[in-house]
Amino acid sequence: MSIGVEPSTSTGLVDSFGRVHSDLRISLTDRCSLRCTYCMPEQGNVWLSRSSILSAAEIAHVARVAADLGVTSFRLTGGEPLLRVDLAEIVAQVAGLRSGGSPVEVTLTTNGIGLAERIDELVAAGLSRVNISIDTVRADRFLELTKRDRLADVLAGIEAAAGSPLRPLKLNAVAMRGVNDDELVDLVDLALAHDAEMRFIEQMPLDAGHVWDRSTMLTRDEILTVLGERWSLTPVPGRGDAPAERFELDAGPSTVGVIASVTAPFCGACNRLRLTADGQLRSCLFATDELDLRGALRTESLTDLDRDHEIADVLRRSVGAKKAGHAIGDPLFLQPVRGMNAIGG
Amino acid sequence: MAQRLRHSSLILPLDEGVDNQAVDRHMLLWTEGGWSLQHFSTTADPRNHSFHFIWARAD
Repeated sequence: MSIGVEPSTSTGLVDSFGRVHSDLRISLTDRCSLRCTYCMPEQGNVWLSRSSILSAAEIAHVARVAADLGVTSFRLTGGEPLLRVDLAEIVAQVAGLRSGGSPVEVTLTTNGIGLAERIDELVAAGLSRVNISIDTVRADRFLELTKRDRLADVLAGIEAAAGSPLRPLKLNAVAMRGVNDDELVDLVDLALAHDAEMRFIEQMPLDAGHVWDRSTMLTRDEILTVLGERWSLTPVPGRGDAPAERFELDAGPSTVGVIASVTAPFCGACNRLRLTADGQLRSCLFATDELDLRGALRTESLTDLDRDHEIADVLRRSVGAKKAGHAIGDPLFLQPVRGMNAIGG
Repeated sequence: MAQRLRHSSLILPLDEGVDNQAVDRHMLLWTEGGWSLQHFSTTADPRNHSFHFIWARAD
């Protein structure tokens, strides 16, 4: 399958390969209610200082400039975004933006803990969709993997999302050999029971322990082999710039997705930028360099117009320096200094 | 004025990762030859991550 884009004539966020950037992922906090081993250590985390975390107004400011430059989709991530008490305010401010004359889309990636209590206010604020992470449906394994006994809270969040108007609902699991590779079918069944799409993500070298090993990771092909023993899988055409390859289960309409960043990278169609909770802009999940936006937001001497220009300039410079592909596997590949929780997935 | 189109590819072993400097050198080689990038895409199979380019140049 070819993954690619046509160079745009737009004055928006177009990189040197012609990739048009229309998706901004905004990490709202590096803190989380879980301690998933592939993301962050159980103890000894050095958190971003509270004063460095962007406010709702600052996030909305960046989003407005990004929308003016053609960004149409904003995904709010963490850490765990539900830990922000002002999450609904952020959703409302971003959802009120327009890009190219059309409303933008605001989506949320969450572990679902506490979602049941807040989903109504988030829907009212303009949230479009939600992705919920769940790697296991077994309570003992959940505790072992996340270091927290919160599976029931995650399931309550999934239940609430299934009962809301937020569609399509997606559940995400990192597929890990020897951890949850015997639960792939169970996870799909969970998703099907909630009118959701299960998506399996290849584990990436973003683990806190730096023990990721390509030779032992569970691959896309292995995931599909397991699922293929239960369902017939038919590729869904028209992937576009989506990270997931989708497959119909038994000729549909239900589907499953696989995000194979390691064994089947999709860099050719990457349209994503990432803003960290402390206002640093990254052009790739695996980038080792960042550009500072917080300075532009907090320099008091700037006029409003100059501030907008400065933010736009940083966005353009980040896109302009974007590499052709991520370099997982390269002998010189350096795992980002930030943990996954401080980048946003 | 006629426009010529050419295609080029870089095939990089997945387990050795993407050498982005090699991609940059490839791009530079073509652009210094007067070619402009018309299309960029990637493909992947279990062994390789391939980068495909379609170039145009006015003759």
